Amino acid sequence: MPESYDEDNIDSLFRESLRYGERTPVSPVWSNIEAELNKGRRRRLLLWWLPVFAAVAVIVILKIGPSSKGSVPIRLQSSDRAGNMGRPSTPGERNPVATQVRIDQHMLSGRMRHLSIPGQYLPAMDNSISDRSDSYSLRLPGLVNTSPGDRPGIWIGKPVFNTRLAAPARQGPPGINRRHSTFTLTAYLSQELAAYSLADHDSTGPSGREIEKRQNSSFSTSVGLLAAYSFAHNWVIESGVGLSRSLSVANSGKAVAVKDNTGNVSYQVNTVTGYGYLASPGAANIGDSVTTGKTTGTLDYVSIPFAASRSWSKKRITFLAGAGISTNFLTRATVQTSLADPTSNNPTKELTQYGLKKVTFGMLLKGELRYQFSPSYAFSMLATFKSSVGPVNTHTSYRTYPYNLGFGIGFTRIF
Amino acid sequence: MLDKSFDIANQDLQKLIHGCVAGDRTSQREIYDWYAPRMLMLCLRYAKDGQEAEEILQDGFLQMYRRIGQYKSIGSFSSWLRKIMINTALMRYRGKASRLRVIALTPGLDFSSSREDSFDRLGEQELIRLIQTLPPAYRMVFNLYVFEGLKHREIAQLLNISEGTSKSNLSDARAFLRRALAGNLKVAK
Repeated sequence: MPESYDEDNIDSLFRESLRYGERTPVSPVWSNIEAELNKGRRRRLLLWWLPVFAAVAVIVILKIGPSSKGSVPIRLQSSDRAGNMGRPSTPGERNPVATQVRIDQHMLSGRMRHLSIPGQYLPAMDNSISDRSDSYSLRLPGLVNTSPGDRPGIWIGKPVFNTRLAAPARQGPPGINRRHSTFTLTAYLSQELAAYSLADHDSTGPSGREIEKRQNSSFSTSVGLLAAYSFAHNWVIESGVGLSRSLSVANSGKAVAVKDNTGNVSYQVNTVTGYGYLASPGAANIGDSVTTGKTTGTLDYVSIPFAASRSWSKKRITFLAGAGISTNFLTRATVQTSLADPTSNNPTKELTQYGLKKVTFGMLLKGELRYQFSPSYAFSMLATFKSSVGPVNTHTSYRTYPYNLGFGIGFTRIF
Repeated sequence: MLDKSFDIANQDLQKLIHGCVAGDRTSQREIYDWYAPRMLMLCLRYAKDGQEAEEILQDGFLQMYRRIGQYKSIGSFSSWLRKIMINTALMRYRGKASRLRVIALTPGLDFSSSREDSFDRLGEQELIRLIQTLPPAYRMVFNLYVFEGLKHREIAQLLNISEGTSKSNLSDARAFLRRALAGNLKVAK
């Protein structure tokens, strides 16, 4: 017997005996799988909120942590009209005239609790420093210059002092908001020109490059609220929430009949991001095709950005440039299309758009020009570039990487 | 080589796949309940024992759930899932391959009681056990050649061995099984 079994017999014995067998797992395999899937879900959830947690953590740490000390260039406006016109100081020389110094509040940021001027001795300071007044008023009985002319611009008795003040505790950078500028809230509205980078892995399929050829135009609109916190001199972190709606318009094209997600035969209408199922008006077989009219895909997202920006200021104007990431949650996806039948007037139908990821991540670059027209309010002009770091779709034969360039306006409340 | 009839009815399957893509646990469970018993049979052939087979099954299903968005309805779902299971088993084998020593075919498991009519009396369980007793390198080649119908060139690429080694391993595996079935060999457990 055994010796009579040649190679083929051995192969077929095993193949035929084991091909269709079934066996029930002994260990709780499903429980393990479910636990792993839950772990992945928790990880994803954490990833979604990570930018927010990071932003909140940084803000809390900076708020309760030790305040940073820095120095802020300001301009001291002396009320000295005694005619001590500016002249270079000499060591140990005292200003003979008590100098009333006015510091406009918008020149400062943060609360001013003390004043020191490097190289200067302030024998006394008026206690009239006030947080809430429009200007700080100091009475400096006499400034003493302790080093000769080592800081260009330090003059004694000159009506205008150019010097540096030691930054008071919890002081924010001057460029962001000149008045108590550690925290701002900005509401914005932005209009964006959108484009898509397509990676097509199935150029022969019905959902292949044809969608790229049909793609006509794309644009999106965003509104949102951004909270900014200045965590270091001239540096700001921002986070908040944004709502965006993007529209992608494709020209007339072919839709192929497939089995839809309910098992019925419907026409699959592709957009540049996903697809919808258009019910067949009559009997249709898989593989049949129809021509659709103009097709519009609409995607609504809630975004949570997290960015860091550098600021540059001059007088009331501040420019911020920054970069960051955003987490985008898909809240609604539809396809508006109709059958392109010249003999009848087919109504446009709105279909659910499938094949999209619920959560996507993006990178963003931003520039902002801000004009502070009052101590508490500013107006902004924004430019943004956003790009998805991964495809926004799944379960499609192509991968779509959207990016957009936006311009907007913002209104900022300074706290 | 499962035929299409093994798959869930297409419309139900599409629903379940959409559910899985959306992370719906019920859909995932239904797909698991339907396919796990058959897939475990496959895993048992690639593993050294039942425990390892269930580990492969678990890893394979996790891979499937993570990649289900990439499934295109061109081939049958069971064939796609089967490929994932085999790849999972092969990845596991490749990971272990460097640590495996050459196992000598030494006496251990006694088939002597089976003797004359061993072929007729051997059931599914015994045949699986025989495959599992093969050294891993032989087991992989035997499975890929006999059950998946791959050519030696393809097997050599998959396992990163030469074509000659693949042929030699298959030949040795067959000889091993033939002798084991004949009851003339005691094999290492």
